[in-house]
Amino acid sequence: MKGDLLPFGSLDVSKINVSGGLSIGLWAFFALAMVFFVGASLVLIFHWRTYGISSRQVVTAEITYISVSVVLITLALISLSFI
Amino acid sequence: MLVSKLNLDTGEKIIFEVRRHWFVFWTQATGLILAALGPMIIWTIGSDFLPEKILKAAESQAAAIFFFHFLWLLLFWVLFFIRWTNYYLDVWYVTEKRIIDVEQKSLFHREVSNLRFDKIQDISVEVNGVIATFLDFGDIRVQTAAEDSRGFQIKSVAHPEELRRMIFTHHNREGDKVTGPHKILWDQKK
Repeated sequence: MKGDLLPFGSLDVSKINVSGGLSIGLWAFFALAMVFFVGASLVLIFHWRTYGISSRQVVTAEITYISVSVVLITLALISLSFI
Repeated sequence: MLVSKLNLDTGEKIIFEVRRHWFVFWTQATGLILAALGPMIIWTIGSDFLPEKILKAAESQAAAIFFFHFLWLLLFWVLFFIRWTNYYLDVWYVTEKRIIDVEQKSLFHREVSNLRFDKIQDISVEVNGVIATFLDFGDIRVQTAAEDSRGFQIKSVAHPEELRRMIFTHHNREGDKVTGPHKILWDQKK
């Protein structure tokens, strides 16, 4: 048959993964979100370090902020890996 | 760090830091928390009323939904800390000689003013509302003698009466140094 002579003639189109484009788009969106997150975090940490008079409060704020952010980013990454 | 940015005199120390009451901050932050948890709450309540087709479609895209939901939480986490930073950096520093009013109007807008105790003309305290009365917070307004001066004001500060008493004490002490014994009476009017 003619289809057998074609390189991909026996390929079942219904099994082609069409979600590859969506996954790439979401990874790009995630990368953009991380750029904004890092920018905002740097601004916040700059303000705490420059103007925060009590170093203990600044350290507590930094630890709380960074630890919860890391947890949320990790969960987002895990979700993204399943897409 | 901050001490050098305040340009304190030699030997001058910060006696007191005055910020707005925590209740004021958490009232503002509650809106952010509700917005962050909103999608979760809406889904929990609304999923019972959605048609099965939509529920199945949501199940098949669960990973994408969770992905966006975690980014949504991250966004509001950052906004919460931006709000907290504006609250935390809005402060009066009271030293032995003056009040330093640091007003963080936004992340990139900061105003620092100084008011020496011997320039103070009048101090007024306003405690308005049931919650403010029970939690003991209110507004303090400090007037100077200058005609074009807008005065200093800090809103929703904890224990305003104690703060006023402390400022009076330091004002009278500074006034004695400059002009001899001089006291502001509690009910002095202009």
